[in-house]
Amino acid sequence: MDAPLDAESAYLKRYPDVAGAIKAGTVTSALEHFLNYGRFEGRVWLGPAVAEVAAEPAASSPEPELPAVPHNCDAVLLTQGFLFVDGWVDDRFDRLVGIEVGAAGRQPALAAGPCRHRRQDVEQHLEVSSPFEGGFWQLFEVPPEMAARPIGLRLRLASGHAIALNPGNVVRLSLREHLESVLGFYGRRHLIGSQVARSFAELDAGLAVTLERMHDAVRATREALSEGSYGPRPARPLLSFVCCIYGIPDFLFLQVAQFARYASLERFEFIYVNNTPELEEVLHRDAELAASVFGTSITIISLNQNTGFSHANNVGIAAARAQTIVVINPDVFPYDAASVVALTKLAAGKARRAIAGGKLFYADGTVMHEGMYFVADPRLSALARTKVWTVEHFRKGFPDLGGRASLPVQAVSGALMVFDRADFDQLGGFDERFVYGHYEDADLCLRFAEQGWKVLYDGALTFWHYEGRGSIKRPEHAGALHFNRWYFSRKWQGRLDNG
Amino acid sequence: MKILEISLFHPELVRGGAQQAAYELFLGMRRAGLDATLLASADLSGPKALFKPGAIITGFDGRKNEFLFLSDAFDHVWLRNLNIRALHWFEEFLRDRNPDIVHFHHFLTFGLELFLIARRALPKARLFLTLHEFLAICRADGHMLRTFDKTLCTEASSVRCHQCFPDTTPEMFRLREDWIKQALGVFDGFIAPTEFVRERYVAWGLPARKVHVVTNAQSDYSKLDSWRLRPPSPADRTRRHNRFAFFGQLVDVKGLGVVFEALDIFAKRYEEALTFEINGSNLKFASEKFRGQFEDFVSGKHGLPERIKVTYNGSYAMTDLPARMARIDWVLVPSIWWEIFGLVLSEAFMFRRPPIASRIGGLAERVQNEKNGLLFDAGDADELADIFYRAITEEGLWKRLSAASPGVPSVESVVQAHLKVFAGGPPGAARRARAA
Repeated sequence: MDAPLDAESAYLKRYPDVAGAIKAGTVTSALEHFLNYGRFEGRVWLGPAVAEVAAEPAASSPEPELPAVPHNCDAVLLTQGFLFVDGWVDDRFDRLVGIEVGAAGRQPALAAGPCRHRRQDVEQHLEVSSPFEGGFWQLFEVPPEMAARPIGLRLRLASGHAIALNPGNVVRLSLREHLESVLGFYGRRHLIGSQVARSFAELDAGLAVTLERMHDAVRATREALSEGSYGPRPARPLLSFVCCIYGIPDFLFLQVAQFARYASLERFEFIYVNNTPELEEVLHRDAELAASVFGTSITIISLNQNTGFSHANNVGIAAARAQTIVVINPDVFPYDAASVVALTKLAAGKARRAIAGGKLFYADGTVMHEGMYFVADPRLSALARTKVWTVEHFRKGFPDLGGRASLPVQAVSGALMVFDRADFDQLGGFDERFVYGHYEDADLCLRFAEQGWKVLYDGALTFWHYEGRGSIKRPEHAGALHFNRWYFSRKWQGRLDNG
Repeated sequence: MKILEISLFHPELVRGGAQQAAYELFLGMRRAGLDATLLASADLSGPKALFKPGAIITGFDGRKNEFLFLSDAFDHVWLRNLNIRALHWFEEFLRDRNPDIVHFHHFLTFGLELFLIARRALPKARLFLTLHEFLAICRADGHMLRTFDKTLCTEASSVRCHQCFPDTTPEMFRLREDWIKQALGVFDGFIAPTEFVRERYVAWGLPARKVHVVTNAQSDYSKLDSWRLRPPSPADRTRRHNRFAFFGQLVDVKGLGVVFEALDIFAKRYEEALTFEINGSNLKFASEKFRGQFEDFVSGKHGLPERIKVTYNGSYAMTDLPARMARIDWVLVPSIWWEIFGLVLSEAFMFRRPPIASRIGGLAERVQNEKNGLLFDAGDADELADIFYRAITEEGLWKRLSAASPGVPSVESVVQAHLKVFAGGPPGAARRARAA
């Protein structure tokens, strides 16, 4: 190991025990001591950054590299057009400032600042006394030709030195798997500090652009695998119920059953859009059974992937034949016969220029939803140094006061929404830039309000909502939530700021 | 009047109290000259040769008026039938037979939606359901025992059921209840074999005016020649009544474990001799722990003193009852769950073998303590050991209790009681329709 002599001397002068160690043959130099022991003992290297010649310097990279800095590349996920890298580096003494990507053996073609996260395994390995964010990761959009060749990766340190990363086994995924993996990682990563604040910073810094382009690429692969209609189809249904199914098939039959408990379903149609391809057959089966038992029209549109709430509902509404649309979650059920009557009162044009939500109850009879409002969360906003908008429910969990009136609100839950399809179409449907789910309902309400149309909480629309039971949760949904919160806040920030 | 009796399984294929009662009732109706038809389910746990390609309903072994419903897609979670053809052909069968009365005895193997279909297919028919157990209320096999500690449950609720099945959310139990009640909503009336069952279901939410108490139909096997013509043994008049027996399913909730424990206590506490005979089957459905205990006691490995003899006689058919009852004095019914009727009580009463039963559910209702049997607290082996001693040693006890045995009501009277319920009338009258 070579080190500037003045640094070597300064280290020995400052830590005379090290000279003793060299004399005893325990170590051969001050630098070796620092790298192997001193830095873990809180000692300081009083010279230029620790440097070592890279084991295999890139032919076209004349700059010095620092393989002596402990690091590892844990995963490289690659798909046509996108690359995700995840690893760790001990950069406590020379800060990591960039991650560079290029074809192996060539100058890097792309560079981005690193996203960081805490790695307790790294902290244990390095035996550090206090936590630090040793993990690094980044998502790149890469030219297709780069994806076809061996990848070269480098870490750039504040000192200007570079570390060549060994990408190891590059895992090649489909676009959709890649997006799920990245979002899954994003939702699970550990940070020192606020997840929300960091997400906003990272997304603002360019991650959002790459994620959106990746999401766009995935969106282009969506298609319907099958479509089937069962039961008697009314020529012109009074209401079209549109419901997105994800992960749990049971609710189709049970939801139709609960409607049948309180009303004849001959004038309705139910459209279930399946976001879980592996449930395709089960849902067709249950649609046929439910249509037969309850005497109603049920359509199944089965998609090839989890397309999210927006897309699935847009697909379902496009197939709906009633003028009045009821978007309903699979875990929402009528409270009593009056609930269905209240819905039919909004049918046939009576829901024009308005979007209506209902009074939703938890299974224990307390209120789950009586409309929603927006709040700039003070703590999150302070941490993120920008307004972070969250959606709150009026009187959530409180006892029902019995009111059945209709009141204007800022937004209503997508668990149950009633509107006229012409209005919906005019607005272009649910915004499909949201990933999977969260915030699309609030977004639609704001777009209705932006037109000067009404957003109403209709207390007569009483329904049970077994919130959170209607679908499964996967790791990628947590990552998508970060993105959707950011996207919603950025999309509406100026207008929500102005009330 | 055309009556369709719909039974969970045929007792010829699968033994069990509910199907036995349904079948006895059906036979009684036929004997009474009624136009009764039986539709009994069969599933893939029975002889698969009974399933015929494309058939949902078939005849059964050449028996007139008896049919099988071939169930191959029953969903135990939501109690649904997942075979669209089963729904279709069931509806067709109802229209074809066009009964005035449809009397279901269960929804297992059929599916709750068949109740809705029956109402749709036969809008003018009167529909009835006999409540043979608590499966509608309790997902834990209807036992109403807490799954985590096997204590008795007195009331189902979303959260309490979730405690028993932590992987199922309270909301799913709410939905389960809603769905079951929706399906039960089609019935004109319900028949409970005991007041205990009636009270439980009314407390759960069934309309009180619709729930009638009519005892189960059961032939009196003491009328068989093998019993009636049996010469009395001279020893019967002189010996002690120290022969006890268990009849029924060899599963944990039937409480044989309590008897084993009581035998241990008895062996230490008393010096009398006794015999204990076990009659029954389905040990395969018992817990591993119980199976081990059973094997130990029956094989003698457990090490009871020789004066206490435990014998396992194997399963039994109703026609075996005279012989099995002839060699015992007392019938033990030590159930540790809410036994809702206790068919074995009927068997004990018809042979005048006084029951010693748990003070629980339908047992406590049917056994009059100290009059026609003896009761002990469910699960109390200590008390049971003392009852063994008293039963053996108390002069005149057996004779007094045996003499007071109520026997069983005739199937004819049970048929008549059902007909009264089927005919409707004021709820009070229907409530009093129980057989003498």
